[in-house]
Amino acid sequence: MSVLRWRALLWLTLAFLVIGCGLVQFSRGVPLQTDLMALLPPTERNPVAERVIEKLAAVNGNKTIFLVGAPNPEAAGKAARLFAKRLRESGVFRQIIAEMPKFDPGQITKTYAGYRFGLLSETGHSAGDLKERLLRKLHAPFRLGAMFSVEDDPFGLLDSWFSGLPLKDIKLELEDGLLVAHASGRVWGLVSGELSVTAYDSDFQERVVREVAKAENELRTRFKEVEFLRTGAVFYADAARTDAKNEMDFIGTISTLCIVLLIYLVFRSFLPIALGLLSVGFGVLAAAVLSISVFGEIHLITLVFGASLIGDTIDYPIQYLSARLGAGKAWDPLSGLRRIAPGLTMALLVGILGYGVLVFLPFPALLQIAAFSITGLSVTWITVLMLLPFFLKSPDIRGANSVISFLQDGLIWFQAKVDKKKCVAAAGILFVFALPGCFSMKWNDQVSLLISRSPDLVEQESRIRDLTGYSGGSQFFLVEGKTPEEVLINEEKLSAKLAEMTAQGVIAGFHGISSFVPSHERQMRNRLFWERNVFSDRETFRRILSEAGLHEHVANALIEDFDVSEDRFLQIGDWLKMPFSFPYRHLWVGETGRGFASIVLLRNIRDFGRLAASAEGLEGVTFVDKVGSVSRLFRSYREMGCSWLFYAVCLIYIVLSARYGCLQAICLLSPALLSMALSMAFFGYMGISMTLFNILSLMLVLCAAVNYAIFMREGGIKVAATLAGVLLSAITDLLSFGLLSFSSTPALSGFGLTLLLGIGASILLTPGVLVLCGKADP
Amino acid sequence: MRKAVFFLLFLCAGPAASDGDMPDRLWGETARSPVTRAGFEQTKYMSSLKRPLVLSGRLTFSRRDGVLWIIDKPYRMTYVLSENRIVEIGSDGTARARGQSDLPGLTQIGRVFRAMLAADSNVLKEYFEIKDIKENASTWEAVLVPRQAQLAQFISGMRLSGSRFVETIEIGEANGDRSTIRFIDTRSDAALNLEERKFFHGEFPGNP
Repeated sequence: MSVLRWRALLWLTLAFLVIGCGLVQFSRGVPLQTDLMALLPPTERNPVAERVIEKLAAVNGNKTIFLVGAPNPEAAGKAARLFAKRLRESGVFRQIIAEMPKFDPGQITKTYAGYRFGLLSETGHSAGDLKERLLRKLHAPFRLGAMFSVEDDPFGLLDSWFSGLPLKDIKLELEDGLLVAHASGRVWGLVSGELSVTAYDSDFQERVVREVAKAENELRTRFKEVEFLRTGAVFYADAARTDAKNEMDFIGTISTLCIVLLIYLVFRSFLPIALGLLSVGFGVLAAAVLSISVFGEIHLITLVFGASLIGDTIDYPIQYLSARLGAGKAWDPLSGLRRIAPGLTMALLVGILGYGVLVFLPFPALLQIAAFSITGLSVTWITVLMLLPFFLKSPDIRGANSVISFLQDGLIWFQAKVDKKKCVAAAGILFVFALPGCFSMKWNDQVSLLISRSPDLVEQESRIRDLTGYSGGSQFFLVEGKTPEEVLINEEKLSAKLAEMTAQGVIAGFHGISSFVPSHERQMRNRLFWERNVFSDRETFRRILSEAGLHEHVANALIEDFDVSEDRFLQIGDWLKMPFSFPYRHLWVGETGRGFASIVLLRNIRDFGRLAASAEGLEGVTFVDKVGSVSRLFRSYREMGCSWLFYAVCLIYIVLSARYGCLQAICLLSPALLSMALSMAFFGYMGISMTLFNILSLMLVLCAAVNYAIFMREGGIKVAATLAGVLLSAITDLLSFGLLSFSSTPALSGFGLTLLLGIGASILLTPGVLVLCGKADP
Repeated sequence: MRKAVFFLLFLCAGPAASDGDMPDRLWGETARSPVTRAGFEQTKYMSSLKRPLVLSGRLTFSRRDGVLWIIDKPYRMTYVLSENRIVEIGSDGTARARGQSDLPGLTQIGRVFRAMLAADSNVLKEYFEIKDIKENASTWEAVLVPRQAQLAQFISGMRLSGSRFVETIEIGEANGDRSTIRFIDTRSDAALNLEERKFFHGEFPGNP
């Protein structure tokens, strides 16, 4: 059997393997990762903090909140109830809550009253004259928000503790069984739902969005002026998935069509198109199969990026096809392969170096992009080496067509007219032009680079927050301790600091479980206050109550309750069981594996620095700021990327020197360096901030520009077909990265734009290599 | 679920829609004149008290500044209720100010309280269903029932009566306690006097 056949069979085996794996994987459905937060790396040094972030995300991930707005309460109530009914019938929700359970105000007072001697506000300890307090309570012309009866709380101490609870931040009111918000003449009814499956299942997302839209449409026909607001991870994930899918389709379709067209224009035959698409398609398939088997899933961002890889990998088959075109009648598949193999391998190595840098960044998404790209490139390279020679045994005798000859003539003219001096001078002028631009560059390290949330949904979420007063946010304090009691003690120390911060306007407020459940230690202290100030002199106590006109039994009942409640302390478990604690239960994290933990949520942080500083040195307290941490990470990697870029240039220079000598290596590198400088200058002059992702793409610009220089140096311009190959590669690269710059994810579009500019510049500059490298041997 | 439900303030529910057939007018003159002054006697019937608690004092209602409620007997106690805060001056002369942030729903409580004193039916009917209106040539009487179940958990009903001004207010609480306020010698005026202005502007003369 011939060598060609052996190679082809080997490739076929590989192909069967990959396709087999792919069939097994895809039969279970493509595990698409649509959770945007999954793109972010673990940032917290405290492992518990990272777990809590995940847990909160999971809890919130399955929740959806709707507000149904109407011009009057009756319509809002009816609409909200019908909407809830329809959602319930849809079957995509495990639970839909609109109607609030009948609420017994007595229950909460009764529960708390049982623990009254342990509950005292900070001001309670300086309560002043008890008699005075009793008189104030009795004389108030109307109930000033006091909720405990005179029998339960004669001195209003429990009232004052209760009014200190962070309940008032919430703007919803219970009306006619529904929670409603009033704003600018409209009434909004709250409907909340819990999904029956995880929000990150793509098929399920579609169903949820469809069912919600159906319910909304029905209501719009039944009620006039009804309005809907919604928020929930499922909607964000669905929007992100739809966007990514559209982008992937757009980039994939356009680049495939253009590539088919380009290949046809140059080679004028069907076989090259089929082989080109086969090589690329197999490369992308293998990349997807490998990513799924290594990572267990594919990120949306990888798919979008993967679509742009088509333009990158098509370079390899094009090089081989060009060699065949150039060889004419003298074509021998193996010797042709031998001729282009060093260049191809060099290009692959440079590509692997470029994408390989991504592996060292801690972003899960980038690691996947790197693995995807490197696999795609390598497998396409293998296909070209193994399979293509088998199909391209016969020579292509048509020779270069007129488009190529025209370009070739142009380059010959360029080489004749332009000498080394002019080339160096032009390069110098461009450098001088680019320099100020490079120095006026600004940087951006926001998380939103990687996570682009649908602006419409963000707007709806912010309206829901305004209407309900419910605050979310990725910043909170994590409080830890060996025992629940220790957590509460630590949290109380933090709360004291946060109360100061609230008074100083650093934050608007905070929620912590210790406001609802004081530590045992504090309850003991509060009890001691009662003991010393009230019950030590029981006669005076009786007299005060009696003089104010209260029945004897009121005083007796209080004394008796005090005596029997010696061992009665409010504990977290009791509180968690109270129906009233429902909206706050997430504040208690519980067991963490190294103790217990709780979180303290913050409202409207105005000064992060002071807030974080206020908690410094407090035992067991960690300030968790996911968004801030990721931004800091972006910055540190951006800075690291800059130095990496420098090292990469050095590394590539060494590799090039080894083959071409020190001086020629400089000539081969200079178009790349100039292209990078020019694209940076573009961002500087346009006032567009650069990010980590621009740095990453500069890395690829470096690789691509060096590739062109190598192809040009290796092929020279005498071989029109090589030239056609280089040009085709450049155009396909430009195409796919140019398309990427349309992505709605800022990271990807910045990536694409930098590559478009850098590669565009390098194509225009590469002919200089012909001049600088002197008479290249053919 | 989401919070708020539990404020338990006896008047924190939001205003409801207006009935079309209610007369859009005021029963008294209080809400029309800039300042109204009256003496009052409030009797509180509470299950925990051996005998009803009788409080007497005077009241100044300013359409612009709010309500000044001064109890003279049995103890001197003053409440200054403005748009969004309440100041309590005890018998020992110490003042305690509380705002919306300390007392959720205070704005609404204040609004209803002022509407009650002024017998402003426009505001009252947002919160109450107004029943059994009896109107003669010079006197009127009305029974108010809370519109919402939440409100009804704290207050069972109110009865207001008067002629040019409100004369009596009876408030029945859901737990059986009730309170009656009678106003005497009600008069309108064009402006606050110096002492009253001081109260509203936060200068509290020491109690005798």
